This record gives sequence, C-alpha cells and structure tokens, in this order.
Amino acid sequence: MEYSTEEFETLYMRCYPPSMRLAVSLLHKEDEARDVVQEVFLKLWESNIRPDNPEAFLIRTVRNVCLNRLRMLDIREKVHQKMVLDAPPDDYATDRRNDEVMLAVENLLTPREREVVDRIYTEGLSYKDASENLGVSVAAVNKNIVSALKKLRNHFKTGKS
Amino acid sequence: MTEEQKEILIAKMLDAPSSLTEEELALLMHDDELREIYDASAALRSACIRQPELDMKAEWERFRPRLRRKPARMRWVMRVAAIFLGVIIFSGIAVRIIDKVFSGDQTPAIAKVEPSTKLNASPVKSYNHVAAEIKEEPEKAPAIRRKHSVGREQQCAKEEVNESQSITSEETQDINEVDIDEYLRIQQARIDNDLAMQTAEIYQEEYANLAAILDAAGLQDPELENLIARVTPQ
Repeated sequence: MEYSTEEFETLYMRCYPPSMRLAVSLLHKEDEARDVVQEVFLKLWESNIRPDNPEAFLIRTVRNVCLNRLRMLDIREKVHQKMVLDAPPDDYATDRRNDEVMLAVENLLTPREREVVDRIYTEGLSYKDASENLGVSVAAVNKNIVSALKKLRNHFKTGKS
Repeated sequence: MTEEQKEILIAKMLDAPSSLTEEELALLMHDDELREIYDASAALRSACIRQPELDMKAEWERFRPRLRRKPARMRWVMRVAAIFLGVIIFSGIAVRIIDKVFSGDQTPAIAKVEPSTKLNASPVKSYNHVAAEIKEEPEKAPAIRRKHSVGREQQCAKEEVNESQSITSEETQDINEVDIDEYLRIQQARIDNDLAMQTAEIYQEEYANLAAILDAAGLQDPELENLIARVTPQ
C-alpha cells in the first residue's frame, strides 16, 4: 500500500523534526544529518511499504544509518568531534539522555560553570575565545569545565548504580 | 597519573583534540576516570549542540522534487517478467526431478560398458603366440612374420574403422550414461594395449632382421642367438 503525496507530506511534517534532532545529536553536523534524514524518507517512499508505526520506523532507521556512519570514523575523529564512542542503547535513548543531561546541568552546576559549558559546548568556542568572552583566564575556563564534567560523571555514575 | 596530569590531558582533549598523541589517546581510552569524563563531555556536547531551526514548508518544498516512483506500467512489466522467469525455472526443476525419479532404467551404468570386452575378444594374435609359431617352424619364420604383420596392419586398420564407428554410434551413448571414471579407465587400458602391441612389433622386426643377417651369412652364433632370445619377450 503506497502513500499518496499528501499523506507523505503529513508524515514528513510530523516526523522530520524529531528525526533531524536525533541525527544532529549523533552526527553533530547539520548538513550530514539532513542528508541522512532525507535519504531515509526517500527510501520509505520508494519501498511502497506502510509501517504500522511510521514515526518509530523512521527514528530507528535514522539512528541506524547515523550509527553506521559513526562506525566508519576512527577514535581520533570521534574524539576530535566530541562524539559518543558507544552506540545509544535504544532508539529513544539519545533524546532521553539529552533531557537528563540538560536537567543535570541546570540543577548541579554553578552559574559560572553553566556559562563556561554554554560557551564551549553550545557555541563551540575555544578555551581562549571563551576566556576572552567571559573575562576570565584560560586556566579558570579549564577548571570550571573539568569541575562540571566531574559533577556530571558522578551524577550519571550514581544514577546508573 | 597525577590529578594535575589528568587535568592537562582533559584540557587537551576538550580544547585541542587534534594535538593528542597516540599514547595520550590510548591513555584516555584505557583510564576509567578519563574515559568517563570523555563520555560525560560527549553527552554534554550531544545535549547542548545547537539544533537547526527548521522551516518545515521550505524543507518539504526542497524534498518534494525527489519523490519519484517508477511508472506503474514499468512495474507491471517487471512483475510479468518475474512471474515468467519463475515459471520457467520451476518447470525446469520439475522436469529434472521427474526425469530422475520416474526413469525406469535403474541398471548401474557400469554394466553397459561394452568396448572393454570387445577389445579383449580381439582376434589379433599376441606376440607370444607368433613367437611360438616361429619357434615351432623356424624355416617359415619370415613368412609367418609377414603374415602376422600384414594381418596385424589389416586388423589395426579395421579396428580403427570399427572404433571410430563405434565411438560415433554406441560409445557416445554409453559415455553419456557411463561413469566418467570408468570410461577413462577403458580408454587408458586401450592405449596401454596398443602401446604393448606396437612394442612387440618392433621387437619382432628387430628379430627378423637379425635372423635374416644370420641366414644370409650362414652363421650359427650361439651368443647372438642368446642375445636375440634375451631381447625377445616371452
């Protein structure tokens, strides 16, 4: 049973944003993520199948395609792009994990640590640029980052155990 | 590794990962604390990464031209072709199975091997037989040798004709049914037999030449006789 163009448009509007969010989270590159997501939608269109749960089907397929791409990268490349080394345990783990991390950042970190995390991880600044932006030393930036990461690590470690 | 060294390594990992050496990278991956900090950093990066603001109308317009399906007629042709191929393959398999299962001829193929028995029944006399005749009637030796020589040539010619005929008629059928190993064995035996017969003919000719020389010279050299007897196969 094929999708009509109108039906497929509805599906695209509904499922594209979460698929894109997942792909960007895993691949860290918007262009590459868009490429993956559009490929997956195209495959679904050409296959002429109608999954029972199209959203779950699309999320799972996007995740698998992204993980396949990540497998092609070596450790150095992953470290360079600050990518996860292990595959998330299930289809929605990345989304759940992201929510948990943001909650922990909000609850556990000091305002200064949050500022440093924001400059380094959200804006992608270097230590030097972040230090200039915040008016602190590079050593202070590093100290805050290390402190923030240790808090998060301990939080998730105790959470797991 | 001291805390200070770890902090330097973390700083390098976060701020200048491309400058990490192989050893430092290995340390990061194998030290539990450093690995956990890296995982926390990767999770933070994943959560904090700025998600693109999507204009869904524009995204759909950009994607829509890529939606093409194969024409319905093409799909129909492909289906018919697939069914047609399926029927041909299936009927081929069915015919083969029926041929195997219901063919009444259950006789082992080896039982049909005729050429080997024909070869053994050849009327051509062996070299031993000719040698015995010469021994019994030494004065007729040249005549006997000529007779057998001519007889053998004729026989060989006949055999060749017969063989070529039988190969074209009977054996081609047999070959199809006879086990290929058995067929090869028969052919090898035939070649061996031909070689043996030709060798015997050579001996015979040599013996005849020597005997002619002795006759012409009127010599009765016992050593030469012994030599001839030695080289002549019994």
